[in-house]
Amino acid sequence: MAISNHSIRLSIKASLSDVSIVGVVCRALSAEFGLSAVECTEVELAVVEATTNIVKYGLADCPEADIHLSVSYQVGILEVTIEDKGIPMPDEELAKADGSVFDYDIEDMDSWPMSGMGLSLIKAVMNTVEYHTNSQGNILKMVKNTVPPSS
Amino acid sequence: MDYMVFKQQDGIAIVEFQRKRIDAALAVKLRDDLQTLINQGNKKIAFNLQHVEFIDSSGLGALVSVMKSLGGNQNMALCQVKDAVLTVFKLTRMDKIFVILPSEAEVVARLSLS
Repeated sequence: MAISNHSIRLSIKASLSDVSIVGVVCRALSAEFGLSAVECTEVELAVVEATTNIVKYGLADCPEADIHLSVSYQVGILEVTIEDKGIPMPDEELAKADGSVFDYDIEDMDSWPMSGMGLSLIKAVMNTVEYHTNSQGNILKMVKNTVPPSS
Repeated sequence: MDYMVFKQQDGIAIVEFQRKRIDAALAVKLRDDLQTLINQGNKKIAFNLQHVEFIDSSGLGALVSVMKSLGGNQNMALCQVKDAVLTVFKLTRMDKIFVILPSEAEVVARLSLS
């Protein structure tokens, strides 16, 4: 892990047991950068959901493959970039995650979701989410706008 | 099931999670172990989340699956939910479908009434 100004880069293997590491690190970094407790939770959640998806779908059965995260912060803007070389997320998946998975009927138990919430959660807590894929791999970029801590 | 402590009180099964995280790494095993508890005859379950500091959508999904197996929120309740965990429940509107109460005594009392 290398630290330069307000940016850090770290890598994990594509294993669900390692996902918590990046979640905890990103939460701690968010706190260090002055984000509120709720914002820290939201950043950790977004990172964990995104990384879990890569492990489960992009790099399934590739536990030795690498996933790289970069976290940078400048006043009021936290950016997390996640890179992998696994199977790309289908183009329509991010667009489909419009939060409608949370529009279930509270009175209808059959409508309560048990899966498929990850991308919608990421989009709910991060201000911008972009995904790019090419022959060199996949890049997910998430940005959270925050209120800078008063000095 | 070293990640859970289980006890019985007034016909209610009380499950206290011992881990800080309920996430994708644990969710499948959690769901299966709790289904085993249900299959053993435990039809009302209270969950104490005092040690839990983080839950993701996989963890939530496992809890929803258990609640469906129990027939709904009249047979399941949560207590001692930390703010960070409650945030995720609220983001997914699941604070509207789960019964979430401050203490173990209150969830036991609530489940005893139903």
